[in-house]
Amino acid sequence: MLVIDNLRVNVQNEDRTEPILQGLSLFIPAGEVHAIMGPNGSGKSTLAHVLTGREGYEVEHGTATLNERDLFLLDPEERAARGLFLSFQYPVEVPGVPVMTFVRTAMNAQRKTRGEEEISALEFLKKARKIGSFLGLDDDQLKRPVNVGFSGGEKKRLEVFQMLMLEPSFAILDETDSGLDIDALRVVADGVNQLRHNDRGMLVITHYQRLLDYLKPDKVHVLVDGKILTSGGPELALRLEAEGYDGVIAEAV
Amino acid sequence: MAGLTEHRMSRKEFWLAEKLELVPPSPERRRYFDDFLKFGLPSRRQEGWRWTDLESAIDSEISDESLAEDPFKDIDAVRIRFSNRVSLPANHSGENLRFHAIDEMPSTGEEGNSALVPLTRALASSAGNSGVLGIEVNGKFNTPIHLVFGATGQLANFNRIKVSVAANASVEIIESHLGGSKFSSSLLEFDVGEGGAVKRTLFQSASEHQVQYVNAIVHLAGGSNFDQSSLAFGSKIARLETNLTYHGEHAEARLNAAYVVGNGKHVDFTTEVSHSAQYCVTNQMTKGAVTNGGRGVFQGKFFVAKNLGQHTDANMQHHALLLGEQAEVFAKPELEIYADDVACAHGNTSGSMDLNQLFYLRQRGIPESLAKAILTEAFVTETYENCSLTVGEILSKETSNRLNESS
Repeated sequence: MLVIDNLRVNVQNEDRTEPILQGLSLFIPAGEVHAIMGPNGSGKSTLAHVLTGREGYEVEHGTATLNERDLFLLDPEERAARGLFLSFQYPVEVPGVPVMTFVRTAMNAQRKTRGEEEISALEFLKKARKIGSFLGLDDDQLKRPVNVGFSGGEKKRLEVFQMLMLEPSFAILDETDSGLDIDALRVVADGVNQLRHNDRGMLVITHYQRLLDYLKPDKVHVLVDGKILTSGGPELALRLEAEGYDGVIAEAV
Repeated sequence: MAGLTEHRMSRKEFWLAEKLELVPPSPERRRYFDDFLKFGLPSRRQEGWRWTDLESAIDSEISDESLAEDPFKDIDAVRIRFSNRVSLPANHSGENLRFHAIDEMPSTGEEGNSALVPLTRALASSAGNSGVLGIEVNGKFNTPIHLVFGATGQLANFNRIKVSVAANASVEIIESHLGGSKFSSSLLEFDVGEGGAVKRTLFQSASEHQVQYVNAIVHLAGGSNFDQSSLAFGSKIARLETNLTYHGEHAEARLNAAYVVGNGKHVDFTTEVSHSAQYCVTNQMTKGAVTNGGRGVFQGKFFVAKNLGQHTDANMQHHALLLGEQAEVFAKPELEIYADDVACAHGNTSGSMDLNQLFYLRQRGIPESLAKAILTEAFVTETYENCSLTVGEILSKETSNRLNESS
């Protein structure tokens, strides 16, 4: 369960303080998938970054809790260990670190923070193979350095691979559909759907309806100027697709 | 010390002159020592030593005989230790490999960047009564030759080794430079015949009271190959030089180096490659990570001769990570090109860690200190890509241990 209450976030732009999120509130119960849509610059990625603890943002006001834990009191790695996962809009290349080593290090680090045992090498390998083949990532790709030499679509698949491996209790997908062709989109969406569960929530940030066709969100929110302007069911995404943001915004205002 | 006193000696030079009395006397040694005295111990006033003030680092007051752990001590190799005397392996001289003492070798006139070369020639005594240990390779020799430098019980230690590789012969040399004396200087000369190949690995680690100088003077005949990988953790001053000259066409050299330098330590990689033959290929990649209070120095020079150096293909890269506000890196890449049909490139960067990468790792649950160690290790270990599997694994493990200690 993710609860965001009246969140105000600024960024420093040279000498100027620029407000990005301006009183955003959101409630996503466990088991639900919510989508956030909105025009460029409305604060979608800022929300993903500030929830996961990236530097460079100033939380001026408001709270965010995951399963009743105050996120803003935790380091990024602790937030991850408590179940928060971000599928990056622009996955980062990590030369010299093979995918398998990376994910296993991450998994064991999370387990250690939670006071759990490390995963055995064999168990890890079996799980990685199974999820890899489901997503169409072969052994060779999983041995390559993280995201290095991967196409845009492969990078997004690798994000979903990491998500399925780490089994977070709450996942934020930041434009996971961008750069995907229709087949890759289906694979990625199937992967995300695999993770749907009664005690797992998701926040899907997207520009387009097409990912939502596969993911079938419980709710859709429209973010404009750092605030949720309007919320509704899946039909709201269809309206946005048909009428554009301008139409929906004009009506809501 | 008659004959030596034409130049005024400093206290430190006098201390070195005393060493001369201990080695077997010969006119050549005296001449070398005189050559040394013309310039004296290198200091920041001298060209090529601006960031590495060896003169003031040599201080004969504090004695430190500690030896670093040798990561290669357990590998299968022909092992030669340069401590107070050289211990030669008993059974390894055969058809393809021969060890012998060379009484004197004429100076080739290439003195590298300093007077330390003639100094080392004057004072090297480690090969028994002789000045030079000769290693002759006459075929493909598959077992690595492991040279272990670390003499205790003496303030200063000097070594000379000449490796001669016959045409089409090949050898792997692994060197561990471990400290043991306050000042050590080792001069290695590599003569590689046509089509010959040398794989050289250098590991350096010593304490913050010890000063080390290692210089490899490399001569490559046509079609030969010289493949070098280094890992240095530094010491009070560790100056690691490679001076390489191509004498025949289509020879290739790879000079890779990594340094991980912490508080009180200093590493200086200085290389000069003279492209004096056509169609030669040089690939050089140096990567370093420096934490607070450490200093890394890179000085690389490619010289390409006017006609002889045509069709040279050379690339020099130096990239450093500064892991604290008080970390220092000084770099001077130089290309001196007189030929007009060459491909020469260089790149040089130093900066802090990529925050996007760091956040990516942390978002996956990897604690900050571990994330930094992982990224730093990945950054520097790229230079081990040409090592044999065993050597590459050992260097990676050393790097990782060192980074985990300092994080």
